[in-house]
Amino acid sequence: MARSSTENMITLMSSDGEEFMVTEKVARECTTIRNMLEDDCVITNIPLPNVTSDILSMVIEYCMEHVAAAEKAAAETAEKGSSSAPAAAKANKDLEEWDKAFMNVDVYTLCDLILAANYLNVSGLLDLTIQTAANLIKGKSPEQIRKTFHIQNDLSLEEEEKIRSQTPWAFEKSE
Amino acid sequence: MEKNLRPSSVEEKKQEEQQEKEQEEQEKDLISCLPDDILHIILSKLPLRDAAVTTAISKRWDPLFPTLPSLKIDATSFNPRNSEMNRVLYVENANEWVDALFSVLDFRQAPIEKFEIAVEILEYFELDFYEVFDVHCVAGVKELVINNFDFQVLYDIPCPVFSCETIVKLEMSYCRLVVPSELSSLRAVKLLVLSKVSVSNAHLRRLISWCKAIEKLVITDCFKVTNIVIHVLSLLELEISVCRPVGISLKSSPRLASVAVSFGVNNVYWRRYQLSKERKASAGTSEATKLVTFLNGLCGVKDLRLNFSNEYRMILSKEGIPLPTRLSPKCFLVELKKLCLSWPNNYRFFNTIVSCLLNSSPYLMELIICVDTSYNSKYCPIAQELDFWDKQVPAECVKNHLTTATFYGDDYILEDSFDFPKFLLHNAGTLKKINILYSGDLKEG
Repeated sequence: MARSSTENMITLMSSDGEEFMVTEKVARECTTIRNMLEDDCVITNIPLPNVTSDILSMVIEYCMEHVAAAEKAAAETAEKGSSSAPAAAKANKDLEEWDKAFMNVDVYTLCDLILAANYLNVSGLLDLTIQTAANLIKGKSPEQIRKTFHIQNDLSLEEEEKIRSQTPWAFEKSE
Repeated sequence: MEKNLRPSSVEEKKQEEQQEKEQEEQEKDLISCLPDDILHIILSKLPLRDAAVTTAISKRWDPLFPTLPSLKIDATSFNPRNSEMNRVLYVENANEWVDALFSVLDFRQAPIEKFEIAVEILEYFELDFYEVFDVHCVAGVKELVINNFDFQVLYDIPCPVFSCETIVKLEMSYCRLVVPSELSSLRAVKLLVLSKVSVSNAHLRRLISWCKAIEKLVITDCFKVTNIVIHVLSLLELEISVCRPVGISLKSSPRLASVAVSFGVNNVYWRRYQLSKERKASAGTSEATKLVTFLNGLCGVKDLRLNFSNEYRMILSKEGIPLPTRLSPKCFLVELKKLCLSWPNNYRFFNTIVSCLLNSSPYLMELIICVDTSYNSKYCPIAQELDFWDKQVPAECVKNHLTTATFYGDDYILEDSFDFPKFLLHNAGTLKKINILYSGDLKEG
């Protein structure tokens, strides 16, 4: 890439030893990395022992997409003096669609992404993954939630009965 | 198991292991391995009922709901899922609702940090609710939002709220404030939001003055109050919107940097006010004098936004008391850098406001004027005095500091009001940019 020569590149190393070269701007999307860079600005190689390569590549993909969208919006504003509302609304919608497609993952990847977004402190990705997880729980019975997330039921019948009786309003009468 | 494997069977074995591994992965329950704080955030994104259901998933999930730091309860929280009332945001059965609330609170295993309650039945269960607030304010709630949807029935805010020492954010709407005379708490409050609250002048003043650490105050269309007196040292930001003329006076708020006031008039409230005793009590003080009193308290403000309604203009014009051309020099807005003004139509009255503010703000750098005609289709330019700006002496800030001026409006409005932009073009020495935006598209000059 032509612009990479003018921008600082940072190497991120995943837990399984794979290296990812990203621009400083993309890396700064992760607040954890931004703080490291602000403490020590000559740092160029950052090991991330808590993130595997497949998850890290997804996090980078997310950050690159969002940096590109923000740059495009800024360029348009600079060109026209002010951003026109319909164009900005469309760009937002496109990004939302992209996020939605990006969240088309299995529950394991989703959980790994939540942990990575939390560890790297990427607020947009954390919100997105957490909302996706919440949507998977919403409106379901305990049995359906267990099935969705492969959770083992370690409650005895009596224990479950007791828990249900504490918040009877929450459980449908037919259940 | 075979010990000597040929290369091909090594491959096979590897594949098998891979499959086994995948199988294992399939069974693995990753979500239950997430830390409590993340699972709490997930639960906080769910309606209360869905969050409560998770207690019956497994032993890992059982304690999460009772320790959820934030609790948001509204009228539909305890209704059956398919209740007709869910669409209209009403409680289906008040007794069951209160029982359910108490079952949630009784099974709590950790203090509530953020408590948000939006329901209209509080009144009938006054004593129960006093107990709720008594227990939970003492337990150290940091954010409290009390929201009533039924503006027909304003309920009294329970006393324990006023003696809470931990609340940082307090929001109340559609309720009646009776502030105890001996108040020593609320000292932690940084944000106070009062929306459509019924409160008397003295009680409001008392409440605000007791919030010694307050940084942001928002008062929206409150009932009964006619004079808002703000006397706190810590205040940084103030937003007020009124639905009939209300006096606002700011005293000793040296850190106050941002002020936004919307002067609206709701004709119903206004007529009722004019007939009332309050009117007689404050007779003699004109609305124009009240406006000047308000402007006189803004010496330290950097960013000022004012919005005037047409009804407010009419009340001021009717009194026939003109605004001064400038404030008294000791009240000049010496810190003001950015001024944003908006009103529905151009009238001479608004010219006098612009001129008074420009003459009193020696260091103003940015001026924004919005003329919003969208909700007022009938435009009558009769009151416009065409040569107003020709007679004006350019203010200090116009000559030496103003760099940006922006005008928003419909084109037919701006045609009539080009005098002011012209005045700026002729007199502003440091002006770099004038933007004139016709509802949507943009022209630069």
